[in-house]
Amino acid sequence: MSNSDCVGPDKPLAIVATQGSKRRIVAINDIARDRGVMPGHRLTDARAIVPDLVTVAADHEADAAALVTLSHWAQRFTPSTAVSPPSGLWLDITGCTRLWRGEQPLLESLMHQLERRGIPCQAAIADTFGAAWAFAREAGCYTIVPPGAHRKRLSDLPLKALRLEPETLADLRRLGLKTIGEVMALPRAALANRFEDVLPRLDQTLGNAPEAIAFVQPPTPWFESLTFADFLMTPEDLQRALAALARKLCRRLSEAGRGGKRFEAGFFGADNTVQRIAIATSLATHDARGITQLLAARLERIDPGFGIEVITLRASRIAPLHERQIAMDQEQGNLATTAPLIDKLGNRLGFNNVWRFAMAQSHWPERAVTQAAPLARPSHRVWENGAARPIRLLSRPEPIEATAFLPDRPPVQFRWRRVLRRVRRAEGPERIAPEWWRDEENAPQAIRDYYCVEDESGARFWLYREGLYQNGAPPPRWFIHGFLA
Amino acid sequence: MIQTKTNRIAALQAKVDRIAKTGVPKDQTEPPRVILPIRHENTRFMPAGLPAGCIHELHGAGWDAETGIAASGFAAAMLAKISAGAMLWALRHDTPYAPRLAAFGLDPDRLIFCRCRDDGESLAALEEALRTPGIAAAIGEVGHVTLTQSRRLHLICERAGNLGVLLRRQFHGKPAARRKPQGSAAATRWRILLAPTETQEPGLGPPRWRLDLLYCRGGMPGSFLVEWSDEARHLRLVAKLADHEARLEQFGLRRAG
Repeated sequence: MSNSDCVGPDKPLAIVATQGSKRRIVAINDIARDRGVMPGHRLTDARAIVPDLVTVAADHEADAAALVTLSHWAQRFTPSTAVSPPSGLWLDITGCTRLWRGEQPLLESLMHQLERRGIPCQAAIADTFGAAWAFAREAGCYTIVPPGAHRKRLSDLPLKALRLEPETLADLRRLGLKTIGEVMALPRAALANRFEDVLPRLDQTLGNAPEAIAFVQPPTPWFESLTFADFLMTPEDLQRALAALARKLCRRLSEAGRGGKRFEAGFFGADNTVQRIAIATSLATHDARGITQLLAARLERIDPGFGIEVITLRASRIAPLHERQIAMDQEQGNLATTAPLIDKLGNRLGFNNVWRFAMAQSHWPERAVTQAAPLARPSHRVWENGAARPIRLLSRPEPIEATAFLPDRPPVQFRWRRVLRRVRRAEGPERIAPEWWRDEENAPQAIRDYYCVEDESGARFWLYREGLYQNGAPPPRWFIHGFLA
Repeated sequence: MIQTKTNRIAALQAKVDRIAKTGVPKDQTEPPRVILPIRHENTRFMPAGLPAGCIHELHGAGWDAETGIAASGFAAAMLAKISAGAMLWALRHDTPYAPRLAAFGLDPDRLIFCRCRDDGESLAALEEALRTPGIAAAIGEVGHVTLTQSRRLHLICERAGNLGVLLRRQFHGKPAARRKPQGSAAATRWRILLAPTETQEPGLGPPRWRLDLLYCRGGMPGSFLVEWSDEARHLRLVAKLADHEARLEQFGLRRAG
């Protein structure tokens, strides 16, 4: 991934890295190659061969960053891409070849697009990650290994296609082993004894052992993409494209009896940038129009720049559709028909900001009510104690300065937020103690005596005194916890 | 020729009437009404309860203009009279307490809540809700509403036939709170004040509010003193300084605004 723009294509160029005390060539352009320089040469040797060699210091961090960018770029082919440093990419194309009608068109399209961007490449498609890695590097420009054939064809490849440590590779070479086939023929016990990393790599390459690769996203068959010869610029065009993608994806989802709960659209710009928008739905859906609407509401975040070349749509969370029917049976009052509303609000305000009340088994005021998902099954229980409860509860009780004449009497006046209020009428106390299995030590201090009080203007407050009056202990504190109406 | 001209003028006039919406057009069927939770049929002020297909504004007053306590209670009592359908409540900071809503007859299972950060989000949530078929009513807590915004909501309500409620609160520290109040397309505008209990018995009596009907499209403004009865689950009119239900004829009409 050399950046030859600054030199021009007619000069021999080499990228040089310092390895130990020597400076070696790590990459070259075609002209340098034609004139006899090879990667691995020492810089002094290379200069002797090509005196006018232009050299650039290797920047490994920039290379790694460029590789990550390229892995995002490659998500137009499959959502599941991963980097393979120093210069490789892994694409898990499970379920995605359908979009190109086969593996060969996909590979050709990938290589063509890379070369059009000035990135020379070699590629291979095989059953396992290791085999694809090997064929891409050692088997020429491009290779498609048919399913099941990789074992036979791997045996001709040189050993360095096995992703081994340099020391192991040197040891094996010293033993006269050159190809993977020769290593495969050796007894496993001997191999395991002498080289600890050969057998795992061999098994991974052959598909006998699992391989963990950090893919950006898992592979999915619920993926659609559209490529445009004329780059899209306007939001209307983008929306039309999204609608088309959503229709395609939803048709397949409905045929499979499934629905998506999360959809992600990727916009691949002509300037190699990737922008993404994602929406979630509360019920699994394959309603193309609804999905398009939700996505279109977020289109304003997409900056087309020089134009959008490829748009992808992926259902990243899938659920069977019968979940929805169960929900409908359970609902009273058409709650399920409100799913589109909940999706719109959830995507705009955040799904944790849309909820319904759920009853909890607690008499402690803060814990008696919890929040449930808007489409959760309603409890259908009777809410009790409502008459003596506030219409609004403060999320956190606020301390007040209260004056009470007797320990078990309501306050005669209290000051809250710097306003002094005289209590004209009061009811209480209603004693609420925390559940015995919580806060065992300070249970007597946590007891609350609640009073409903009314001030001179008619405003009603829900106050409580925390703890009891005890000899030697500091006097209990007063709090305001809500407003009654 | 003259005939066609008259026809066209008549058609235009109809169109103007439709746009202006001065009262309910004669040819249209009456929109469904939500019976006001006041037991007495108050024919002089409200022909048959609150019409659905409109938006209604609830204001607080004084200290309560910020918290909207009384208005929340009145809204809960009002929404409880809608028998079917889900409802949306677009909140700002604090949430209503479900057990108390249930005591007003409003099943908390029917309510969907969403928390909004500003007036824009509340109004947008309200609009989305009123457009949704399963939603019978939507209530939004907002600080400032322009005439255009309220007209937009009104038109959506009118088309869908559901009930929109704007719970007006004065959010302090917000620039919107200092803006000049604008006209509104609401069918009714209420001011709800907490009123002191006036019984001789100890303790707190039933919740008591003064309802000022500041504006009523096609009706007269008025002022009522009402008490909420948790047992009967309705509001009853009370006369000032007396603990019995007042007859309507005795209840003085007072123009407000």
